[in-house]
Order: sequence, then structure tokens, then C-alpha cells
Amino acid sequence: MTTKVASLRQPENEVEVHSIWQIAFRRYRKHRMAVLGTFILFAIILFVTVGTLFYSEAAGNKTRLRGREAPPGSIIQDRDLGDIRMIMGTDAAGRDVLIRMIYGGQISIAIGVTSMIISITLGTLIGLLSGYFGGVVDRFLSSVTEVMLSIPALILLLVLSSAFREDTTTVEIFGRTISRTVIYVVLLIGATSWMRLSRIVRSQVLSLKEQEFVQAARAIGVRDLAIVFRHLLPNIIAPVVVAATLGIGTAIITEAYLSFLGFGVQPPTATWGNILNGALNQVESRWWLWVFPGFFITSTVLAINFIGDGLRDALDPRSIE
Amino acid sequence: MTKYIIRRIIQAIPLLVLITILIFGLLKLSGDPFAAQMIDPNVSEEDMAYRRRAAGLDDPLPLQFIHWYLGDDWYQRDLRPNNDPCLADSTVVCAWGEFDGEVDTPGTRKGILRGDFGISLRFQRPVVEVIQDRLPNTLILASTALTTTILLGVAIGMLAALRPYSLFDNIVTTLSFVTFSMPIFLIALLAVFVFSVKFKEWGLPYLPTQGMYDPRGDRSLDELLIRLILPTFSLAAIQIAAYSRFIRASMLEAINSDYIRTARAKGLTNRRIVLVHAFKNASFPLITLVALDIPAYLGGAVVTETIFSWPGMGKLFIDSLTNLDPPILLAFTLLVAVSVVFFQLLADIVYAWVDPRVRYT
Repeated sequence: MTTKVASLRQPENEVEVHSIWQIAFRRYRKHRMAVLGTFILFAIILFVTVGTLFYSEAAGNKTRLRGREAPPGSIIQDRDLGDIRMIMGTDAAGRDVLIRMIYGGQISIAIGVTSMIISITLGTLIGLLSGYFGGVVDRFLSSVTEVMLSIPALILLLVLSSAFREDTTTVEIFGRTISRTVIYVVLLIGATSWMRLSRIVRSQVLSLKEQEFVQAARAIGVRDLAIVFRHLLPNIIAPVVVAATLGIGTAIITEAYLSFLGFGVQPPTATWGNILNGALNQVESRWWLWVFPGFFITSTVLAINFIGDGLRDALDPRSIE
Repeated sequence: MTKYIIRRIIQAIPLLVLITILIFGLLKLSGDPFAAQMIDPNVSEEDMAYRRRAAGLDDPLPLQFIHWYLGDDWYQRDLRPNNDPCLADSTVVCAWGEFDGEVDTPGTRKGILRGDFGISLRFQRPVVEVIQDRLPNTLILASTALTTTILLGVAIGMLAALRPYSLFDNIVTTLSFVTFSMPIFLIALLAVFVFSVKFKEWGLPYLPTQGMYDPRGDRSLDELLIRLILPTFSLAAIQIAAYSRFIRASMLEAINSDYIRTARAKGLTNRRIVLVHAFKNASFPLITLVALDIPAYLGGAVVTETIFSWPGMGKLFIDSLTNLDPPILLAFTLLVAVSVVFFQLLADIVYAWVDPRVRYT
């Protein structure tokens, strides 16, 4: 009897033990598109960070009377710097599109990440609470969710954002002076994009809370909030991680919609979205004003979608062997 | 079934009330409609004060909400001097201003429950009329886009499901991933660039990009059809990607189920199995998809209509936001939200009706 227990404790042939995360990582590595997406995203992040070492933001905001709307690769005369080559051309105010792509990209990605954090926090919290507590809490939170879902997000956002369009003040964050509208856009996108996740989380919690480990926890007197955050939350982490990843992409696109229509981030702060704002009337003659931001938005979101897809497969509990 | 429908409708009522409260609150947040007109030097400050009061903007907020709902023809405001002759004699024009603390003039609005959505500030016409002008244009675009989406989405999805992981399937998968990651306006700009700008350059027949009709044309059907192409393409591209992915997934699921194995055992051709038996079951979820899309098209062609100057609801919405025209914004948002609720309800009912596996409880 005792020998058997001992042999169980120390198996003779060492079996490699992998955590869920290790297994997920292995599976992720095998997902070709996800790996490709990771590389693309990494390259774009390099572009918007390393790029700042070569150009200052002031250089990107510098307007020039001569050398406006210069096509990519052309050389224009700058009052202080002499002849300079504009790799991505200049916009209607003579600003260097390349530098605006670098600094605008930072803002676009930052908006994507921060509003995703808000929306994930809200969605998970609301889903957890309404799923676990049920009753009045659930009825209230579910109807809030349903009301929010009944108005298309873009319309909701446009109405809300028209309130701050006139705000021209700036704030300083991480040493960059940016338009205050960035903060509003982040808050608004975060506050209008949590509903789908909260429904997913809620339905998962509804089935999880009937399982034995939750009953056991309750039986030994674990407090409700501890059950929710320590026992339920880890079990729904897979859909949350996937939603978080895809949420960054959705938020970047949403910001682009708002800014394209002129209701998003206001000047002087550039984003990939508001660089596109003036492009509508310049489709033919000023192609570089929409091709470059369009390319960056699409490839970033594409990369994020690939990564999200890979994570979904990698974290799917049904396929973890 | 009837009981189910009635109960679902009753359940929708509190939701609609909550939606109206939210929309009203949102619009109140989004700014003062008269602030923009304040800049006009021809309008004196007293005039503005009078207009604000007459429009009910000085009423307490809950009362404004009730007035929006039920109208204010039963509610009196203090708009005239006490002994203004116009009160007794209708031929005398009333004087403005000089409020005396005594209510004297009833409101004129009937409220949304009685079909009165107010007067548009920009058009100086009833909101209902303005929307009646615009809605058909949007319906033309939306129905074309939706039909295109369903036809192409289903066809592509089925072809991909017939031979999963074939070259065609892989190309479709890649393409739909790329379109998913594009904002609509980028697709629209690309389409304009290729089919209008470049085609013109190459001497090919090119597509017009602005409006529904040629301003100098005869407003014929041909003109409309040719101007529908680009907006339809932009609207449908992303949705086609979504629908084809969706159909492919649900087809593959259906193909792996038992009744398909039975059909195969009976010796039916693969073609017949896929096109008839599998598709029947795989197409049910389409109902939900379409029901989600219709309201989005009704109001959501915001970006596309703006780009192509399509005189529909989406463009009306953006213009009303820029000019701050709250009566239109309220009506528009409400229309979209109500249609979301309505089509969701309709989808559930239709679903329960066509799919015997769904039990309505």
C-alpha cells in the first residue's frame, strides 16, 4: 500500500508537466497566421517607437507654406533645414506625413489599448456580477446591457462625441502634449463596447456557478466576492483574453471612423484616423494622404485579428489535450 | 405561438421606455441647440431668451422629457405680457419678451407618442416630413446592399464549405480577414480610386461617385443604378466577408451531423446533400444575422452615405450633428433603436416558426 503511494509521488519515468499557459503557447506557435500577426504588430510598434528617436513631434506639427501636398519622395525646401526629402509626402498644411504617421500611430494604438482596458474591465465585471448574483442585480445590469446594445455603437459614439468637439485644450501625458479629446475618445469607446463581452461572461458564469467547485467554496464559507474573483474569474479568462485582443483592433477602427467623420481626436494631435479626415476630397490627387494611414490601420487591425484568432484556438479548453 | 408573440411584445415595452430615456439624456448632454444661433448678430438676446422659453428649453428637465413624450399642448408657459391685446384679439400680432411670471400660452407640440417629433431647427419643417424625404433613399441603398450581401455571402460561403481548405477556400478566408480589418471608408476610398479615378485615367467607362442622380440628368432608373454600384459595394464588402464566413462555419457543422450521414447512406449526391439538406439547417442562423443588419443599414450607412453624398438617413444624421439639430437627432436615434428592438423580436419569432428545434417558452 505504502509503496504504491510512494510510486505515485515519484513516477519512474519523468513526465513533463505543462501548465495551461505552456500548452496554449505551444499551440499558438503552431498557428501560422498568429505568428505572422505577431511579427507584423511588432514591426508596427517598432515603427511608432523607434521612429520617435529620429523625428520630434514638433517636426511633425511643423507647417510649411511652400511645399504643401508634396508627393512622397519629393524634395521640399524648409526654412530652417534646407532641402529635405519627404518620404511619405506632405499634407495640406505642409506637414511631414511620415512623422505624423509615427506620432499618430502612437495615439491610435494607445487609444486602442486603453479603451480596450476600460471595456474589458466593464464587460467582465458586469458579466461576473450579473451572472453570479442573479435576481435584481442581473435584471438591472442585463437591461442596461440590452439598452446599450439597442443603439448602434457608432451612432451612440457620434452623438456623445459631438459634445466635446469644441474642446481645444491639451493635456500632458508621458511627456507628450496631446489634445484632451483623446481622453474623451478613449472613455467613450471604452464605455460603449463592453456589452458583448459582458453577455459572454454572464452566460459562462451562469453555467460555472452550478458546478461543484463553486458549491464547495460556498459550503466552506468563502465570501461571494472571493468566489467571483478568485474562482470564477480564472475560469473565464480565455474569452476575456480573446475579447481583449480583438477589442484593441475594434477600438482602433472605431477611432478611425470617428476621426474620419471629424468627431474624434481634434488637432493638433494626429491619429491614423484624423490624418484620413481630409482625404475624401483628395482621393485622386493626394493618394498618399489616405493610402498610408489606411495601410497602417488595416495592417495593425489585421495583425491583431490574426493574433486574436490564434489565441482563441490556443486557449480553447475543448482542444487542450 | 400567439401567446409567445404577445409576451415578447409586452417584454419589449419597458426596454423601449429605457431606450427613450437614454436617448433623451444623451441628446441633452450633447449641447445647446441655440448656442450656435447665438452668434448670429441679427438675433437679439431677448429674442433668444424668448425662443428658448417658447421651445421649452427653460422647463425643468423631467418636464422636458414628458413634453417630448406626451406633448406640451396641455402645459402653459409665460411668454407674453399680461395685458397683451393679442390674447383677446387674434388679429393682433403678439409682442415678445417681457415675462411677468404668469403663464399664458399653451405649447403646440403633441409629443412622440402622438407622432409629433417636433420641428427641425435647420429645415424649419416637421421632423417627420424631413425623415419621410430621406428614408426611401436609404431604403433603396440598404435593400440593394442587403440583397447583394445575402446572395454573394451565401454563394461564397457554400462554395467554400463544399471544399474546405481548398485553394478557393483559402483565398476567401484571407480576403475576408483583410476586409474585416478595414474601415468601411477605406474600402469606399479604394473603390472610388480604382473604379472612378483610375478608370477615367485609363479611358474606361468610369463610375460616378456623388449623389443619387446626375444634377443635369433626367433622374432615370439607369442613372440611379449606376450610382448605386459604388455605395453598395462599399456597404456590402465587409458584410459579404462576414456572411460567407458564417455560412461556411454553419455548413461545415451541418455536414458533420447525423442526418447528413443518413442522406449519404441513402446514396444522395454530394451536391444535393450540401445544397438542399445541409443548407436548409445552416441557413436558419442567417435570420438573426439579417435582423441585426437591417437596423444597422437603416441608420448605419452613416459613413458610406457621407462619402458618396447619398441623400439618405445617415447623411441627414451627420449633417444634423454638425448643425446641432436635436429634434432630428432624437427622432433618428429613436428610429434606429426601435428598429433594432423590432427586428430582433421579429427574428426570434420567425426563428421559432421555421426551426422546429426551437421551442418557444
